[in-house]
Formats: sequence, C-alpha cells, structure tokens
Amino acid sequence: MENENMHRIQRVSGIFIVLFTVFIIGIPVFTLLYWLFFNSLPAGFTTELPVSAKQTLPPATMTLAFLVSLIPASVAIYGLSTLKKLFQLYTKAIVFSEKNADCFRRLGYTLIAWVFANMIFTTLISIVISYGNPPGERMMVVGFGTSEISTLIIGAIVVLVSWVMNEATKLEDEQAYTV
Amino acid sequence: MTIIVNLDVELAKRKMKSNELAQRIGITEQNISILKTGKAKAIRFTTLDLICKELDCQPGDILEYKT
Repeated sequence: MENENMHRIQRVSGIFIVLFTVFIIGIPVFTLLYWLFFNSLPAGFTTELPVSAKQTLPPATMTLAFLVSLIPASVAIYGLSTLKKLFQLYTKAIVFSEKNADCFRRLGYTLIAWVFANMIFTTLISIVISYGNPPGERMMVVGFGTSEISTLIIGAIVVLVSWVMNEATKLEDEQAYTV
Repeated sequence: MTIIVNLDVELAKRKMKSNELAQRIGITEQNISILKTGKAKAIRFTTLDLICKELDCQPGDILEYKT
C-alpha cells in the first residue's frame, strides 16, 4: 500500500513537471506576443489591464510595456521553477528532506513577492499605457485589495508549512538512522 | 556521540561477518553498517534483542559509554 502511494506521487509529479515546464516557456513567449500584437488584439484581451489605451501604442511604448510585464512574469517563472524542483524531488521519492522544506520556503516568499511585483506592475503599466493619452486622461493606478491580502496570507502560511517540513525532515532523518 | 558501538569487536570474536549477522537476524546489511560505523541515532530494543541472542552477549558488550 505504501509503495502504491509513492508510485502514485511519482507518477502525478511527473505530469506536473511537464505542465510547469510548458508554463515556464509559455509565460515569456505569451507576454512577448501579447505586447507585439497588442494593437490588433480584440477588446476582451485588454480588459485585464488597469487602464485602457485610447490610441494605438507605438513600438517604444509596447517595448516598455513588455519590459514592465517581465516584473510579475519573472516572479511567476521563479515560482514555477521552484515547484518543478519540488516535484522533481517527489519523482525521486524524496518527500521529507531539507531540499523539500527549502522549496516550500521559497514558494511562500515567492507568493509574497508576487503581490508586490503585481502592485509595481499595475502602477508602472498604467503610466506606460496612459502616457500617450490626451492630457487629463493620463493615469497612475495603485492597487491593493482583498486579493492581495489573501495572497499574502497564503504566502505566510506556506512559509510556516516550510518550518513544519523542517521538523518533518528531522523526524525522517531520525527514522533513517534508527536500526 | 559518546555511545560507542562495539559490534565489530563482537563479530570478530565470533569470526562472523556483518552480512552473515544481517541475514541471520533479518535486518539489512546497510543497517548493520550504520550501527558499526557509529552513524545510528537510535537502536530498537527488538534489534538489540536479536543481536544479543545471535551473538550470545549482553547489551553492554555491544554498547559502551565513553566520556
């Protein structure tokens, strides 16, 4: 029964590793394509932005917007890389080790960093996009709401879980060297 | 660690190899090696019981406290 569970963990972890790899490659590619074809995108694709562009964005603005988008994108990629590392440990049947605990700790701090990265992104992108708007329609948006608070709390919980995992590592170590 | 494991001494006295002891008492050679090399953090009474029974010795013959 124990081996069956471990095999299941290993199998599912393998699937997630593929998924994370796709996202790690996909995020920067999608971000680049988004800003490259921004002016031709249907209206529904730009509603997620904090401001709307009143006119066609010139190439320089789109380049700047792409660079600004890399701020949250890089945090997301780092988080996904850490998840990939964690699941690679699971595929090797390493469940309670210092490396696992370290991955959880980094994931927690990544979630916290994600909140601030998104706040910076929101503010900068609103400036970049609206800068070309007519006077009186240029905006700087600063956003911090319940979604951000929730993510911060979840991040803190994940960091706490990493501390618990450290204790589990000690137990595992004790178990491994009990004859 | 101030607890010394003298298992190799007791094995040598009886001209027994580690793998032979491992097979006889039903634990892995790796565990015997962990015990012999002083890496063990704990030993179960059941394991100690099996070793003493097989080697016909006392726990004190295998475990020694040194300051």
